[in-house]
Amino acid sequence: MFQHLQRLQRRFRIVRGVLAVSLLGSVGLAAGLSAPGLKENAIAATASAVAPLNFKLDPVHCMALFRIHHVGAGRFWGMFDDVSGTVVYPEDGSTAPTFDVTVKVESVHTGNEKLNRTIAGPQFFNAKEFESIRFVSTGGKSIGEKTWEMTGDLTMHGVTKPIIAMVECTGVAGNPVQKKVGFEATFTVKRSNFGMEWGVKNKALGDDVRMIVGLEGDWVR
Amino acid sequence: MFLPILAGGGLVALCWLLPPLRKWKWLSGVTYGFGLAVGVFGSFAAENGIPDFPPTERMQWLGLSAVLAAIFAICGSATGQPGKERSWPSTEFFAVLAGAVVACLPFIVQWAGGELRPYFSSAGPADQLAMGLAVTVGFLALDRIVESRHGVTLPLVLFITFAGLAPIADAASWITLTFLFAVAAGISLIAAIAARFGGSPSIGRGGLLAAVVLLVFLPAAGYRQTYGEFPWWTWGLAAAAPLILLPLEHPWFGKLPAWGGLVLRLVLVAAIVGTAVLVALQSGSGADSGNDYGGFN
Repeated sequence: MFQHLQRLQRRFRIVRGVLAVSLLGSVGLAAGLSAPGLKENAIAATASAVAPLNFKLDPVHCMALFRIHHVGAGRFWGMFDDVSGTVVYPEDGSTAPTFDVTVKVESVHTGNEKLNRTIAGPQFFNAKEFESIRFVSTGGKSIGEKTWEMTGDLTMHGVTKPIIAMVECTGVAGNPVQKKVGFEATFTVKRSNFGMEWGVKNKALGDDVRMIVGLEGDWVR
Repeated sequence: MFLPILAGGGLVALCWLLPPLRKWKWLSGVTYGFGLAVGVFGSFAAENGIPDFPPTERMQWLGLSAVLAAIFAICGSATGQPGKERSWPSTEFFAVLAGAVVACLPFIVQWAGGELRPYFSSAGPADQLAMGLAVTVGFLALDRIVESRHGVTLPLVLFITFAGLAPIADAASWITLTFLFAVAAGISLIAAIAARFGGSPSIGRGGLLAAVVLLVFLPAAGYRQTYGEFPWWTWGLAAAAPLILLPLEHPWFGKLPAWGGLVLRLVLVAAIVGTAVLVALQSGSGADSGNDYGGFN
């Protein structure tokens, strides 16, 4: 009988100890959650969703199309294949993106080799002397959902002029590890403003050049 | 294009055909080079505006080379008139001076407040030196021909040379340069016609130097500034074609009748220029069919 009572007492002590440890653990966990350090971590996790991310342009999926009027008749299209640069953009589109985009002129492509050489040659872009076209954004005003009126400096043919471009974010894709963002920019420039005046006066080739630039960037962590 | 040809060619035709002007031998020697320069400058300015000095773009050297050709046309004639015994070493000195000016012009541009840089893209001091040397050697080599060949020979040879360089420039897809060569060819043809009916005047040392300057500057620009997919020597072969006249001054060829000698000279020059044109055009057409731009991968 006595031995049986002692066994019961021992079991009770074990259960009490387990309960005490569990209670302490629960209290500790609760205290831990309310600790200042973890609070900051939680805020940071929330903020990272809106913080601007850096993207590097993916040359395979970037291109710059241009359209120009020929002898006052048809409009023909051409494309620059070699587009590189960076974009800074918050995933939720809460602020305007910033761009630094460089287009290599020698990558001009019209479907006709002779026309490619003419456009890259000294008559127009003079690519041997002015190798690239560069756009650096200076500001952006939201004009719709994920659409902005971007201002920036365009350097072309050795001349830098401010321009306005309509930019639309065409999407953000990926997962927490890999992200891609896409943009489409449209704008029109007068090539004579950039010193490319050949054929403007005699209307051999139009002065207005319409540009459509498709960009895709990879997140750089 | 036709107005510059008429302006330059008209000047030559006036001075070589009008009897009161033909009396002035010095003017007769200046007029081809000056007319050539006026036409080339006019053609450049009509398309691209008056070039700046110092040049703001390398292409402006085309227009400025015409100005240089005009200056050299006047100064070159001052070294002596064709047919008269020349006072050595005035010609040689002037040839070296002209070459030195061409080689050092970028430094003169810097002195005038411009940026020091080679004439054309991807060029360097060696190119400048080569261009200056080409002007000196070309002038000295062909000076003998100017002395001995009056009349239609040199204008026709230069017509063939410039006319051949035009399709090469077109194969390189440079419209302005194509027009400049075409204008120079047109003026040379007018000069040949005027020479035929104007008492066989000489293009003079001024005319020769102006032509040499243009035959050095324009092909060099074509080679350095364009994306022509043909060998570099194509430009040089066509531009240097008039040098074939030198061996033809051998006394053996003097036995040929006048018309025979002229035809032989023209055929040889045309063969050299034609070879260069064929190489340029065939290379260009090959590139067209094998478009390697823009792989969509």
